[in-house]
Amino acid sequence: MTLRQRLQRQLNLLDYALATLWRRKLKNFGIVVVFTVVVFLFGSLQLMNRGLTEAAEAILKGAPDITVQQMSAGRQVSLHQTAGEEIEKILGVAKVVPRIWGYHFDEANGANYTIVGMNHDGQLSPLAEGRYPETGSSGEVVISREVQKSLDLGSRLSFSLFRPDLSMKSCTTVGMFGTHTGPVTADTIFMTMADARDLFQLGPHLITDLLVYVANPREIDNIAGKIASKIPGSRVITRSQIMKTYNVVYSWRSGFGGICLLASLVAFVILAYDRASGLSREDLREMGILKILGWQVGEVMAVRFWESVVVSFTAFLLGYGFAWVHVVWWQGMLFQPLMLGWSVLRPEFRFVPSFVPADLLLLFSVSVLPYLAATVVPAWKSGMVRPDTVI
Amino acid sequence: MLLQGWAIALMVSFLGTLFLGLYSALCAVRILRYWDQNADTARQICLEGETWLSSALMQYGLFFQLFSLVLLVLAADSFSGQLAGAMCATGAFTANGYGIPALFVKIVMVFFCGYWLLLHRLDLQVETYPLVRLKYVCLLLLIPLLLVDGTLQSLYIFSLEPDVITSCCGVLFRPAENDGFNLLNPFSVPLLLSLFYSLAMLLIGMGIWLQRRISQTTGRVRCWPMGFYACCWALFFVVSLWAITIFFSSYIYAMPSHRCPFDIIQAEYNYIGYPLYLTLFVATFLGTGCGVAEMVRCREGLEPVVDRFQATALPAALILLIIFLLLSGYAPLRYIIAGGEV
Repeated sequence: MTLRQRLQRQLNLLDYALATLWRRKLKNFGIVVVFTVVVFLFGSLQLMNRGLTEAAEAILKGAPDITVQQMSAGRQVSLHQTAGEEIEKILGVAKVVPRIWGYHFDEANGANYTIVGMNHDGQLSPLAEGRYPETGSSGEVVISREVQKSLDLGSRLSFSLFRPDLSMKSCTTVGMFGTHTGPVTADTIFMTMADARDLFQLGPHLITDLLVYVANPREIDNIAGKIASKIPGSRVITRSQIMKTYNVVYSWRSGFGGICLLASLVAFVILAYDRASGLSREDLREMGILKILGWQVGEVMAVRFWESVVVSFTAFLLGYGFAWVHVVWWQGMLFQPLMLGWSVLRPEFRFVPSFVPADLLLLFSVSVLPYLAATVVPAWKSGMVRPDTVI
Repeated sequence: MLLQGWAIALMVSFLGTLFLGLYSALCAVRILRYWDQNADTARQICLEGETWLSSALMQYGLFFQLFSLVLLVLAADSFSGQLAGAMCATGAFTANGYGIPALFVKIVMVFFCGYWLLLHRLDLQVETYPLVRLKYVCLLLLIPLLLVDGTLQSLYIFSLEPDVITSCCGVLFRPAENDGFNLLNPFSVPLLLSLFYSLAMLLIGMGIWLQRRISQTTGRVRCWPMGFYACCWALFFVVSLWAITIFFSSYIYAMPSHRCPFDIIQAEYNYIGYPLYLTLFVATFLGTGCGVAEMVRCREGLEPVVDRFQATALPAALILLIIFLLLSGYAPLRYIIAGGEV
């Protein structure tokens, strides 16, 4: 048989399989719907994982190469600003920026704000509105839409925060973070170092961490090692470590969701096996007629194989398409608590996952492969029907 | 690292393959026990039907194994984003002692499943089914290998720890002299390339010679040359993987310190790894498959069938080998033509 004849034979079998699927459309429609839901659930998780990881990568591009913190008795403590001068002496260090950051709990609404105190040096990511606080100004802050809503500011720009001694510190909004930095800025209130020191009532020259920028990226690990030896008891974190941690967290969360969804996958495989095995009287009659006409077991199995391929690919494309719609238009609302965590201040974040063929392969392996494995034995059983017993 | 999408996909794929393998092993046991070519009983008819099932299961099994091989490499690439020190799949595979053996066993499984299907195709073309017992014994032998594959893969995934620092391709495959810590660099690059191209020339020459001999002589005369030809293909496969890793890959990446056999399947390098490995794997399978077919040609009625297979497989292997050589040589050649230093 020539290649052309073989191809024509397979096309004829596919044609017959499509006609069979159409004849039993109600039964097959049920399978396609359930299969689509399974692909949709797994696909949504995978796309959210991709979207979050890419967002973290984009945000961390502007992050410092090395972050230095001081540890004491296993806990983070304040660091003296002069430690930055020691680090600046290390060859290869381009810049050292001191920072104060901490949490501020708002008893009125139960929200936990992240306070970041830094002097703006023109290298921070652009804002959606307004500007960063001027160095030397007092009470100027940048907030996010979520913080604005949480504080119930409406169109007002001024608000107050409690210091540890319960006196009030006045703040005025001068800028607004954009949604593209949502995962990290949703709960952030940005102010100058002096304001943050005043709010937390830290002593003079005390800071929480130092941000180190390195001229040559290949030297980051070496310089990190030198910093660790220069400042005893310091915790030195590089940007790649932070990225890997984000990666681990998001992968773990989507993997955890995937494990939970395995039960639905198993249920679907059992359903597919059961549906494929349960031949009706009409199906048996059809098999009998085909066998009398001279069809071999292999040909019946080939028809069943094409049926499985058509069903699984249709469901796969539908499920993946719905997953895209769910993640891009509805921000993956089904899995938001799992992937983003739950908090009073939930980041309003738009997922824009890029299309990666490897993700399709992953999804294919947890949906189409089990379905194909579940239908091969029933396909053979239908091919083994003896015509004399069914006609 | 079990709670990771890729790990789940690998485990699901393994469970699917295990189901197919165990079901076909069940058929194999029944066939080996009750098969009687001359009988005309209902059981014999049923067993003949079961050969269809086992062949379908093995075809699915081969597809699953191929899929799972690609999946393992992509999974390792994804794991590298979470492992300290790993920058690509090489670092992820060497993060513990099970990664490289798992990959090796998976490649072996792909070839063995392919050889089984080859035997099955040859067997079906003879009325007396002369290979029934042989192929079902082989099928039973594949099951322990499948279990080893699954165990190594599971151990690899379970033992991955994101906080353990691993070494990556730049360290493992660098042409370093004195640290004694590289995997594939016992010889110099010129020696490796000489071996690579000599073997390729030998395979092309032998392939043409054997192709001519098929129509001229009987099988007995061809037996040893065909065995030697198959062994050369197996050796060429290993040397090719070696050459891709420490020579060709760095030209594809345009980076002397980047020597990774896995990153070439990424989008950044136009997925060049897929056609490169596909041609190498299929050509090696066809080349070594000629040797496997030669081993059974003495069985009743198989001589013309084996001849037909070899007459198709030999030129196909040669064409694929030439495509592989062109694909692998393109990047270094472009570099030299563009004025790069040798």
